[in-house]
Amino acid sequence: MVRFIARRLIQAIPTILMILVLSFFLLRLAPGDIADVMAGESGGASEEYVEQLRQQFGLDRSLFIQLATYIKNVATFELGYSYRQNMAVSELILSRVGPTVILMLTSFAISIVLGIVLGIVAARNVNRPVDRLISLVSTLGYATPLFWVGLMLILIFSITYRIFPTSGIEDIAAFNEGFARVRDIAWHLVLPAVSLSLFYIAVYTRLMRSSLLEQSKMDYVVTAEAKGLPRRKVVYGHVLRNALLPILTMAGVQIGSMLGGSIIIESVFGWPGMGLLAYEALFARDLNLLTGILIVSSVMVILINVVVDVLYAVVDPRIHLK
Amino acid sequence: MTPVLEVTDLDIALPGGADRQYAVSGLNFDVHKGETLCVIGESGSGKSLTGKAILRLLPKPHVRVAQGRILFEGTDLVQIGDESIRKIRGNAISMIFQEPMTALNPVLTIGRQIEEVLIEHTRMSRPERWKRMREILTETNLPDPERILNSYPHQLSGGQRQRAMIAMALILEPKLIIADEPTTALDVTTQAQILRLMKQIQERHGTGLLFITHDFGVVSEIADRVIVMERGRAVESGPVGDVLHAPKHPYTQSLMAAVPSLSPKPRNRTSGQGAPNAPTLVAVENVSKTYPLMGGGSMKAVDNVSLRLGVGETLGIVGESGSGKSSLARLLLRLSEPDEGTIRLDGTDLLALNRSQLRSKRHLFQVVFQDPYGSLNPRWTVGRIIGEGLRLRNEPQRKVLEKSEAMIDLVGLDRKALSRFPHEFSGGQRQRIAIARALIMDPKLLIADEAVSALDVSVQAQILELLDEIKKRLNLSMIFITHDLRVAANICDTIMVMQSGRVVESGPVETIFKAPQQEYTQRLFAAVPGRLTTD
Repeated sequence: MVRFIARRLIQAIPTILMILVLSFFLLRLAPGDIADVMAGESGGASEEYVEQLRQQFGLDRSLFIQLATYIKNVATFELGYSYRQNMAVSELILSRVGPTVILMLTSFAISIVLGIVLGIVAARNVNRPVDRLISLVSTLGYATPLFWVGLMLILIFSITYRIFPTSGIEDIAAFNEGFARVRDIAWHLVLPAVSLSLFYIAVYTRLMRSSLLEQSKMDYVVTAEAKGLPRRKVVYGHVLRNALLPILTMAGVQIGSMLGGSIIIESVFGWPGMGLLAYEALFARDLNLLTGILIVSSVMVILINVVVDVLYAVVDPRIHLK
Repeated sequence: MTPVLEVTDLDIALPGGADRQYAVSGLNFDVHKGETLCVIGESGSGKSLTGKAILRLLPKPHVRVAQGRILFEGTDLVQIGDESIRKIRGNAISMIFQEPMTALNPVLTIGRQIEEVLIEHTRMSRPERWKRMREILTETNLPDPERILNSYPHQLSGGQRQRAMIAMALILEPKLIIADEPTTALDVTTQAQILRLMKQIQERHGTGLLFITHDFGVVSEIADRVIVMERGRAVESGPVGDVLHAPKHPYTQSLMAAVPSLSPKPRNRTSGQGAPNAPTLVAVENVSKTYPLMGGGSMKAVDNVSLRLGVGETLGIVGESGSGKSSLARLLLRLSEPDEGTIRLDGTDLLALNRSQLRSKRHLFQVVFQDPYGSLNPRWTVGRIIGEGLRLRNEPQRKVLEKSEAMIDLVGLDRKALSRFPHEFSGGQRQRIAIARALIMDPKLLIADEAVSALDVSVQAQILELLDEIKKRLNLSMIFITHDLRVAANICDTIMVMQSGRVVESGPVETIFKAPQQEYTQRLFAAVPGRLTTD
């Protein structure tokens, strides 16, 4: 197990390097750089001033030298400096990781719990009205675009009914502390977390339903019934454990793509996390910051996948980590 | 004395749209204490559903008992409530299934799965339960019970898994055990041990045993009485001696006749086909193949094997699972590369060919696999499946069609079959399609890897006859891989016995079957069920 984890982490190094190189070049394919943006904002700067900025930020050097410098820095855990925000990239990211992690974990928990429960309800009532209703709703959840869900939730629950706040992570003017602050954050969290999880509730529901139905046709289910186990124990003790295996695979995929989804949701809800930071960095052509966010996110995804693989081996004894 | 189980006028209804209204109709039988009743029949005869109906395990809600009584110690199991039947399951009546790998839950330990029976039906404490479990595993001759209890199903061999299943069924000393093809998935030597074990245990505990099987050999080993089922009806029943030695019903007679004999067919080996001096088609010398194992180490799947096959000759490769017979076939087909050795086909060194040269020779050696369900693409028509090989060689469409029709005729199917899909055919018909697909390429060598093992005996007999006839007509050489010595005796000229990747013994079929030299071969023969009664 330890050897497996160690090997996977070592294998991650070339992956991260590739992501780094790719994103470095891809981001620089887009026209314009930070000097253009800053010059533009200052209101018609001279050609010399822009050149001076470029020189100052090292943008006048060749791409490969920039890349080499960047890799050298990353190797020493130095993610560079955001000239736009006048802060070290690592500091910026660190200040924004918390909100994103809170948002992601909440959405993850909501979607996996609700998805499993709805999937079980659907599978146990297969082809009855309840199952049909769940299928219909989950198809809708599947098909609705993320940003639209966010906007609609704001429209309904914040503007029309004024139940939840429209944006932000907390009421800054209230100066809440302790429990009151936690409650305030939780209140702000509801709408973004729900919109981010809708799609995955639908995915897990459908996956759970089909996985349960598939497993309940297996021979071992008949054996369990022939042993005299009550239906409840057959379903929860035997079928469910086997049916959860594909859910675990999906969970790994979800966390990765949720990082992407959080860019949209955080922008819609003004949630001050890494997603919003990436959004801001993108429009400011703050490439150092953007590359830094990409690297941190990839490291997170890789770590989560290692965790999922380990969990897989814990749940399924047929899988051996080596 | 009243019987343990008494079934009267049992009808099991099938859902609308099935090939018949009742899976089982008008069935009557009883099982006494300490007695073994064998229910024998081919697939679709309703024998398995009968077993499941007793414990009310029929697939709900479509298949159900429509009529009749199933009296167990005076209680009608059809009528009692769900809670009452649940208390009987695993307790007073238990079941053993065919494939212990799938019948056990893959993610729970054997111990956990056996313990559930005790938790459900007794008030034993945990130490009492584990003590009882160790006892019962010892009784089923499982070595090191502690290790077995803490193992997961995939960590045990097929025989060990089935012993664990038997232990699970036996742990509460039921009055009746229903065993549904419990030895069909096992090797012959393991099958012989399991049958002996079940017999012993039954005698020791006086259990009634309802044994469902398709194999007359097994019947002759274990049965006291027999019921023969055909399409849901009992066509014949009686003491095992009477039914096996003087079957009255024509269906029983035809089933018995379809069982291949263990003594080789007399062959004319001095001239023509399969003559010892026929020119060599396949010459294999010293091939070996080693596979790395999970978690380090390696396994020699094929270990220094040599063989020679003459034109028109049929070589049988027999052995138990893991003996390397299928690995050898893959090497011969060059689906995997041997580590060392040479393979010559019709004088060409197969291993020296590059990819495109190999592709131009591929049509010379064709294969028919075991599972006629898995080996045909379900989304293709039969015509497309059969013609694919020719189309890949850019033959004109008209010629492909002509030849496909000729092949369909050759294997005895209707030409309309070409426009239909595989699922519309029975197992035997699918195997005919697989044979047509192989033969359309005009091969010189046909490799049949357990090609008749998944078929009912009567169908098996037809396919064997078809292969024999085609072989003669086309002067085809055949390598016939099988675990079934009866099948080998029926169709092969020479036999090669394999064990753990090595050739144990080889020679003309008559010699091997009359006087096997090696101890392993002798054991294989001794394990063939029913060899005394049916030959």
